[in-house]
Amino acid sequence: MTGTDALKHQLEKSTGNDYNFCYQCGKCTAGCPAGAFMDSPPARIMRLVQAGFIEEALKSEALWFCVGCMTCTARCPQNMDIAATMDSLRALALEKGLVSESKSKKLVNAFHLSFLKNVRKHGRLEELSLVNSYKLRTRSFLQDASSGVKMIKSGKINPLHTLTGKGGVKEKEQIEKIFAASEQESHLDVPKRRPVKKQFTPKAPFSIKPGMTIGYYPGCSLSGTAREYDISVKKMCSLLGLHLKEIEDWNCCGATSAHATNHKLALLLPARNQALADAQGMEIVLAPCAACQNRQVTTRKTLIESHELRQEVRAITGIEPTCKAQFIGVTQLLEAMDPEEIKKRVIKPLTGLSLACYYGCLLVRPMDDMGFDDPENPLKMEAIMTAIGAKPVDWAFKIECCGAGLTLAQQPMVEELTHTITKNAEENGADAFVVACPLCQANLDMRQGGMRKRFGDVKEMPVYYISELVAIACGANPAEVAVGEHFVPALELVSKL
Amino acid sequence: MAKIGVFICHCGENIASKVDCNKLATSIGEHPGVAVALDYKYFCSDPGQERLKKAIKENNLTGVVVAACSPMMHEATFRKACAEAGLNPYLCEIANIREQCSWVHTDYDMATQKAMEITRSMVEKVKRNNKLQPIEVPVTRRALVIGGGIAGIQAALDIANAGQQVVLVEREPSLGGHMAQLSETFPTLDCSQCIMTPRMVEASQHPNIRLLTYAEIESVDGYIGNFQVRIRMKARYVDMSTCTGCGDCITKCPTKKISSEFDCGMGKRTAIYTPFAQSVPNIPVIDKASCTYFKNGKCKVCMKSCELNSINFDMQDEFIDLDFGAIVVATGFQVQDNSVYGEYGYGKYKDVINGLQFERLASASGPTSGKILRPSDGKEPENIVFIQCAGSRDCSKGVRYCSKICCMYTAKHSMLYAHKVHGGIAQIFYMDIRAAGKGYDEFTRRAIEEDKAAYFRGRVSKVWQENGKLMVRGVDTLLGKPVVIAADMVVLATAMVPQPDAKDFAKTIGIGYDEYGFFNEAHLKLRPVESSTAGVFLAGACQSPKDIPDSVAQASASASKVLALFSKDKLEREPVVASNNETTCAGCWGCVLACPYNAIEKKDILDRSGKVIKRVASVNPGLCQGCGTCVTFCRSNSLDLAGFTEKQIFAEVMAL
Repeated sequence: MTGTDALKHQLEKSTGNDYNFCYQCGKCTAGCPAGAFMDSPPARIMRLVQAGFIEEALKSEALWFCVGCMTCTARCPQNMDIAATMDSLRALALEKGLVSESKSKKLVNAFHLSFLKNVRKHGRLEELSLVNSYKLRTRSFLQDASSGVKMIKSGKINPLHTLTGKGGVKEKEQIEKIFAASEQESHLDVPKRRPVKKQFTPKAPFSIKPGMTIGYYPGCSLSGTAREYDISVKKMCSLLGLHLKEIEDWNCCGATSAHATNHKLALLLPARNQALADAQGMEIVLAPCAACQNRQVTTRKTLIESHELRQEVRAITGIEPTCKAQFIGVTQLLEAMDPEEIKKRVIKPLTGLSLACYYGCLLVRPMDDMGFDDPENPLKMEAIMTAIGAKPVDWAFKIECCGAGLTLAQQPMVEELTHTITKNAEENGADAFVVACPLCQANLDMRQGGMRKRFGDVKEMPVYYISELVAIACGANPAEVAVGEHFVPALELVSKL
Repeated sequence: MAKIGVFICHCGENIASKVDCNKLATSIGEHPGVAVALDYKYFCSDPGQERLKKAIKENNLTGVVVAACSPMMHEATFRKACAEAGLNPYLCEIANIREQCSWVHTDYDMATQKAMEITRSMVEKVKRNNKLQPIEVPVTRRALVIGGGIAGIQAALDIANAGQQVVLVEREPSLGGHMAQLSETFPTLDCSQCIMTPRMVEASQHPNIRLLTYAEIESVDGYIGNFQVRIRMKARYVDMSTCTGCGDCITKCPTKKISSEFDCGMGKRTAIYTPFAQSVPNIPVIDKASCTYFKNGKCKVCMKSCELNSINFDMQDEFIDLDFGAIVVATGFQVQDNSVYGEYGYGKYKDVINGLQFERLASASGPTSGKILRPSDGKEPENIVFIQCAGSRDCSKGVRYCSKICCMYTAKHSMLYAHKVHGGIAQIFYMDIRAAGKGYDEFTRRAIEEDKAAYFRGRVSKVWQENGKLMVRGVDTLLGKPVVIAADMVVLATAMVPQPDAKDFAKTIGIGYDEYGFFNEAHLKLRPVESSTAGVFLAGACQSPKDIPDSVAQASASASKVLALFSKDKLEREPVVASNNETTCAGCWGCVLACPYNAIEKKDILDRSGKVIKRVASVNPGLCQGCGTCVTFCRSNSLDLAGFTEKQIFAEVMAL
């Protein structure tokens, strides 16, 4: 095999794609939120791979604009996995040192490196040290400086933790073993993909009753910058009569940085959490962060299919995952409860609150793995909002990506994406957003000020967590669920209802 | 004394490369009962057949085995040659040493050995073959054409013009099918109804055509030359013999807001209605589900306004039973429901429509009298985005195939739009341009070069609404850039799919269908208008997506097959039918239950005084298809199958 053929073969193995099936319709480029920013948008990347120009694909800047929203894969008529192709190209590019020397690559790569180094050291993400590390690498000292100060003041970021290293995973050698294993060549076979008829069928909903104890996986951001989410989820659960039990010694799921750079790492990190949850006897685990939930759900599917992976996890952690524990999101949790139970607890219906329910990309994709809601027009969050008396609007950007993990490294692009989203929400009559993902919240909330200053044509739109609104409807004081800690002032709108 | 001739064909290299034909001939020549064994390069050729006939005559052969290709290829050829040489054709059998031997094995010695076994077993069978005479059945010279679209009408006219009788059945109240819904047709831009309505009228007035509209096929029994069909005439609630089509009832009907099927939901109709102004016959029907009288017993305005007393609310569905010699299936297609694409907003946004709906807008007899207007606010769109391949060539939606007509009709739509709305901009997203017919490519270039349609190569990912405009997000793959267009209207070139009840209908008729529901032809290249069931022919889009010229061509081709069938007084059927030994038959009726063709009857055996002494099974040789199921079922070994008797089959098996 020539060098190029070997690289193409590697891509085929790690994605399951047979690149002959791509008929270059371009729908991936058409749907890509970052498409207009890329030198080689997704369809061109697929053509480069198909035609054997792997090195050019590896060196493209496009890889470092890809937000990992999987819209391309979701809409491809031939069932190609374009998102996995981007992931694998990034991993290959970093491994072989064949990368673009552009600024985008440097910034994004710096972010991923800082993220993963941090996780390797602590097992969980220490946000302040991540940001410090990123700023040192990229010399972007002034970026988000004022936001940073605000977050330290409100206690979201704790400089002491950074210094003392407190709050990390206890079994640190297991984390080290995971990272070491990820540096070995991966023999994990990804199932081959072929064009098939796809139709969304929702998985049977769970059944959760008041009084139950369910597992809890906060994830790294809920302990830091998304503190409001953690606080409001806990308050909401207590008001609904649910007990939360945190997974003991949980580690970072790897989020975007792991799957964007190393396939094996992206599986092993969540796999450890799965093993822990199984061993601790949990059946349902609440993971409020959409990225964490997405990683856990997709990893669980691979664990079920791959005996090899389960053995590898056992070698590292001593536990073979049974995969009994299932990770769900907040909207799923609310759906799983009897509607009557929620209704009778609503003492302050949010009448008159016009909301744009923003799902973001990871709650509904991949359609088969998540199995939660219609991937083009989901309506489950709207159902919950209606149940608590609010007025969800019909709008067109429910599932369009906000820019996700590229918020630091590609700030201008994230501002453009959140601008289009916010504009459409406003045009359709919404006064505020409701979200179920900490990164969506950060991008729509923390970045809103800068975005509005840059474009000047959208009004202020508060961004609420779904748990905050449900808790408030069930009687909690808005300040109690940290609504006052948002960047865009959000207390007034809910207080005057 | 058996004197069997064995003729071993080399079939060029097909058999000879893997089987030693020479050795085979020598070896089988020594088998008891074999009088002569020859091998030759191509026995199916003229010289080959001459050799065969000469050998039959010179050796006074009592049976022939041709060791060659599959009997599906040349059994008929060799049987005919034997008949010409004076030997009953059913004393000739084929030993398949090609498809079942040389084509599927690689070892030369073992393949030769296997060929030997196959040939020997057929020799043993032929020794026990009987002379059989073909069965003659009469042909009913009346054709049934199912479907009154352009294909059905063409087939009916061709058969009728040749002097044969036709019954044309259409389930809608009027003839016309989808072609009647079109505005202009490519590549000539002829007005569709203008060229079609003369044909429709001709079909309704032709002395040899009996037109049954608002009627459906209830059941089909029988076989080629002798079909028995039950037709359901749905109740119109209007007396066809007195109604003159004046239209007073339609004008007076108070229920005016029903979504018109003919207008694809873009217009309204009344409860008593004709689908369109040029309906043939121009006799209305009452839509029972929407009629006020049927729903709550009030109204009857139509009845009161009819001067001829043609309205009759007590009408029932009627059934008529007719015999036919041949059936032409021309049941057409439907358009795919685009709400499977959540991302395109069809069904959600009023101004996202499909190709057929655009035809209704453009049609002079349509809901907007031919003006292109937005369904949402009735304004003229300043630009329209057309999306090709919105449904076809998409595995993820279960439609793998290309619908063939959409590239052409989208170009046509852009041209009609340019002609009707001066300054209107047509922008088309495409994957390929498939314009392979006569004048077709020139037509698509005309759309671009003369009518300035803008083509973008790439699919569309999403359509959404913003400020009263439809935002279309697609891509230009030739440039490698995403494209966003704010459109006033979006037209989806949706897929052509089979009728919703195609599969059930095929089962009623007894023909095969593919994974999508398109009806199966006997051979895709060489027999495209015959179904796999003898006597049933196919025409038009029910067999596969196609345009009007191809539908018309297929219709005429089907008609020619029907006329060939009707050109004979009698049909010859293969004599491979079952028969019963009435002496040993126990009358258990297991065979009657088992027969898939209902070909076995219960027969009374009478004594001299007319008393029934026994009841036995009796096979109707006209209906029997020779499948052999009854023979295997028979517990008393009374039934046997001519041409494949038990003795013959056992001989074959025991020879191995």
